[in-house]
Amino acid sequence: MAGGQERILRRRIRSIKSTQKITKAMELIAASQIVRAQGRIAASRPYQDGMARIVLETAMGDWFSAGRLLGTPDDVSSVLVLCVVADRGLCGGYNSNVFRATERLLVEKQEAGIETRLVTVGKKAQGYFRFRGIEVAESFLGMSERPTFADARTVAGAAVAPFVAGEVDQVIVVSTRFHSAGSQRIEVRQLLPLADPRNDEAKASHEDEPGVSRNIAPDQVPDVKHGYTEFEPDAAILLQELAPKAAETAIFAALLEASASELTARQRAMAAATENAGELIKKYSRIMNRARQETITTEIMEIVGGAEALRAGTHDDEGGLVIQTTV
Amino acid sequence: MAEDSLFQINLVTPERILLTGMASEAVLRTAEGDVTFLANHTPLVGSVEAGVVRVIRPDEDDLRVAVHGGFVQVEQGVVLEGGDTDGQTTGSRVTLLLGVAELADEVDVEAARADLEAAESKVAELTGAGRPAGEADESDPALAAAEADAAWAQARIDAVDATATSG
Repeated sequence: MAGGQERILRRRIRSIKSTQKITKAMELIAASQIVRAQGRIAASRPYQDGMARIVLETAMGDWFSAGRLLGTPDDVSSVLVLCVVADRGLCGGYNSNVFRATERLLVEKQEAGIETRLVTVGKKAQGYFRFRGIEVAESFLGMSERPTFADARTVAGAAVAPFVAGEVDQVIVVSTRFHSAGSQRIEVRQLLPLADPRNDEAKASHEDEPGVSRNIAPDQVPDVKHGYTEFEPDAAILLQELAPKAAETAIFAALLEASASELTARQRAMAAATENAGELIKKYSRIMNRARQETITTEIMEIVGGAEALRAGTHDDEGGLVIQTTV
Repeated sequence: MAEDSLFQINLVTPERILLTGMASEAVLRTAEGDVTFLANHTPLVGSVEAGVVRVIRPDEDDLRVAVHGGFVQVEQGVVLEGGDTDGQTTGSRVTLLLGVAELADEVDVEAARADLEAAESKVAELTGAGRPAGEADESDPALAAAEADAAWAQARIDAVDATATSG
């Protein structure tokens, strides 16, 4: 009876403490990996920038024959959706936010009478879409935390090949963009056809060209002219080779950013969990201490009561037991 | 060496920058044959075939890189940034975007030889299956993949071999 509740509470506190240790460790691991993931994003930028410049140059060279490779298609009859999530949970709303965006997109497309095909990255997606009864054409596992370019190629094999083969008219990626450590956003964007660089050429040539930037005075910036470029092979053929590669690069970027976002989400979720565990420990300690105090009080009351009873049952002068009750 | 005989060369893979610096010549194979780029080459965009890219630098040894295909872009009169540009601020720049590439020093020759053997036996197996060679090219993606693997393995071996003989 006595101490029973206390023992239960003590056990519970111990259990919360070990959970807290685990969440704390996960938080620290995620935090250390974020730095590496950010480094990987930075390391992949030169390639992406270079790819953007080449695509721009080639598109400027021969945009008549670009056909279905560039711009937004008007008449879409089938679309492939690539959904990028994590392999593991414990990262707050990271996965479910992407799922929600993906599902909304799928429903939207289906209502418009467009055939959809779903390709996923991340173990969590498998379970989710199976439960929802949504058919997944292909899913990839084991690359969400540390994606390599080879992984991006594998994914491209499933996401880009149908477009190249003409089976789908459009490829859309739903993933989390990593803007900064404090801001990640779900983004739904068209992967293929490639965004028409002519539309935002002015923007592209200032953002994507590392040559035109910061530490150089504007009057020193050379005038980059388009349209005087040789193509080997022909721009039209080159564009056909470029499009899948550019898509591959974009998938790689999406995977990298998703992994950094996942780690950030996990760090934040685990920090919250650790904090919550601390609060629970405080709360239960308080309840436990009160319970302990109550037990002690009850015990003393019992002893006092017993002593009183004993004394009442004997003669006063014979009583050898005198208890000072100060409770 | 005169300033305008150099250009900036960037060898970029998706995961890192393999090389950035000034060079006087770059030799590589595009879809239409071998090309040597010198400074002030006409702007060009082209595809790079699997093989060895050789970069000739003014004060250093030649650099050999095994590449598994990619793209090359030559630009004129751009602002040079990043890497060692020898104080040059504008000039021509040659950028190679390589999906997979390895510096000659980093190639594991044993592994490359093993890969080559495996890929060649795969090619032999696929072409030997009753079809005349050359005809199967487009119809069989497995064959194309095996041939690409063989070319990549060969490129790695070539990069190292030539390094050994020239050094």
